Amino acid sequence: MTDARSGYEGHRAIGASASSYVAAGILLVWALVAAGAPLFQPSQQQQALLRATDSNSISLLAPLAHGHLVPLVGRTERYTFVQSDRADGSHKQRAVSQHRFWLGTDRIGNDVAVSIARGARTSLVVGLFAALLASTVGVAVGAIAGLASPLLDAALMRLVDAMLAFPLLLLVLMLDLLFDPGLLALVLILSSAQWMGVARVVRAEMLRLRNAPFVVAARAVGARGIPLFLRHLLPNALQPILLSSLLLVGDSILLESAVSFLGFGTASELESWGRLVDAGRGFLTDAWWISAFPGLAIVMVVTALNLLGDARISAPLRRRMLWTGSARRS
Amino acid sequence: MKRILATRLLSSLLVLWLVVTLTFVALHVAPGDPASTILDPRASQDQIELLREHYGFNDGLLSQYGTWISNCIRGDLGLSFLYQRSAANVIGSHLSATILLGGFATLLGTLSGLGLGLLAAVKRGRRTDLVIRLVGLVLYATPTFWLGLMLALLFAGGVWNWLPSAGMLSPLTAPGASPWHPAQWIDLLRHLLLPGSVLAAPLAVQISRHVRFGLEAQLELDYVTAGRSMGLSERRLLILALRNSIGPLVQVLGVWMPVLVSGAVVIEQVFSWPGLGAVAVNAISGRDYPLVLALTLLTATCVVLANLTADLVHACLDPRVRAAKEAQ
Repeated sequence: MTDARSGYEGHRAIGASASSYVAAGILLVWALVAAGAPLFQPSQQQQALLRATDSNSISLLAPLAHGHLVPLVGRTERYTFVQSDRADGSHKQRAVSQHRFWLGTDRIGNDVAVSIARGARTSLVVGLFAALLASTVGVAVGAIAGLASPLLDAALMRLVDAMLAFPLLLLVLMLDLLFDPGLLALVLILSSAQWMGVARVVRAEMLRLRNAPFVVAARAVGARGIPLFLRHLLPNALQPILLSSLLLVGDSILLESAVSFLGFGTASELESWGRLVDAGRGFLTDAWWISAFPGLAIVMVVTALNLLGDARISAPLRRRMLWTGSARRS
Repeated sequence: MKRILATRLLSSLLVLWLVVTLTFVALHVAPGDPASTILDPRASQDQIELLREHYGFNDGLLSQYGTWISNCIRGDLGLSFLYQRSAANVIGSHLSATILLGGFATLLGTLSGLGLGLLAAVKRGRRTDLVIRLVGLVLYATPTFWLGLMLALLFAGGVWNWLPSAGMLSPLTAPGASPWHPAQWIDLLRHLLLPGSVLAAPLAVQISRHVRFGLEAQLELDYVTAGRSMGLSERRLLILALRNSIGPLVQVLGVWMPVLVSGAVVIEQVFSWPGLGAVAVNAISGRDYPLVLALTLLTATCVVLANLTADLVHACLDPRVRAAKEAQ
């Protein structure tokens, strides 16, 4: 494995192994689903289903179960949408189409599968961009702390300690008050609550590399400041940074789902997996599929992300990352 | 050792001050007015103004901050707007439920994590090991609230009706019965089982992984081979190796505190547990400044203390760590 040479293996951070391929495949499928979500607009069947309660022309041959305004449609039965011809007064009915809701419908007749595809957009975009932004901030803060004066280092690290002393979820809920609802706000909130882990990793790497022979040599020929950092220090610290960023994507998706589940401001307007789980909470015994499948989507994506990271985390690196406190979860 | 302790305590105090100050600033910069959440929506402008005057919202930010800090140092955490009681009182009446849940989850997570980690290390490379690691990987990626809902569906009504899904005690057994009656304990335990195990899951996964990988690394070292050649039993070797790989576990427990609190916030909502989680969510969304400040002060103190204890225990357990710290 990579244990012996994990210290300077920046460029081959994400490599090949069977589980990595499986994980990458799962993520690719979900990315395609998210990208193609607009194609799965509510179908005619659902619109028919929605109108079933107030229109005589289109009706649904399905039991009106559980006393809801619109039936919670089960998962495996085949539903026939019929239209009754009123013109000749004969009430003759003809089948318009047949449809099977593999993942069921929610209480207002939306196909759960379609909702999940649309929720994937929010969850994946938020997860990806929150991790990206948090990593960027973390790298900047960590580099300044690790390379600048000890006083600045101490100040920044106390700030990191203080931010880490907030339970993550409470911090996010509090930051939530500061922003107007929206996708961008959610990204900003999640990233400003999660940059500290990367900052600690980067600082530790900078302290490790600062006096390495190749850095001293680069300094001797006049490399200074940001170019020195970008060309010599950063590439050699890339593996732990990439790994913590990768894990941050999963963390952000989990955190976003928790915030959405609690129904907080910025999240409440977006269609995301967390909100879908919350939406099915009241019907758990009647229609478990409303909550179960969106949650399963979260588990799948985050497992794939962790698997991708896990495949390349060597034992010494894992220890280093634990020490720097990046191993925390919401 | 004393010098390390002194500097660590000092920096902990600094961190606590920073936490409180950041919270204060965030709460007061945020748009929205607590007066509107305290008063009836039909309240007139004059009434709102009167209330703002009464609570001191019209003073400068700095003077409000000064007042709060000086009261806090004297042990007065202020009056909760939402509950109309002192913030300390609100926290006190919900604290025991959360401590009970958190303590149960920590105990359950540590014990099951240790057991599963040991099992996986002993059977490393075989099917048992693979299954434990795979389940851990999936559990680690599972949102706590969803796991809670699914377990409630499975065990508390949907499929089997074995366990209660809400609250801390059954309403029928609560009044009259002596609190020390065994039936009460069993009832409490039944209520604890679902939320407790959901909350314990991430800890169990982390601990089992650390035990498994730590033991694997130790068992390949020369001293184990030497011990084996000297005729020590495998069990004895395992105990030796476990002692040498247990250091990082203390560290895991140190960073566990904030995760526990975050998890409790969600899990208490799912299982209607009468603890601080629901109070925290209400306080933040209701802009109940004194209560939020008191809560962050409490949780941050716990986090800082947990980290401090973990460091000290780690230093006590491992002389190498102690030496490294003293050299700093």
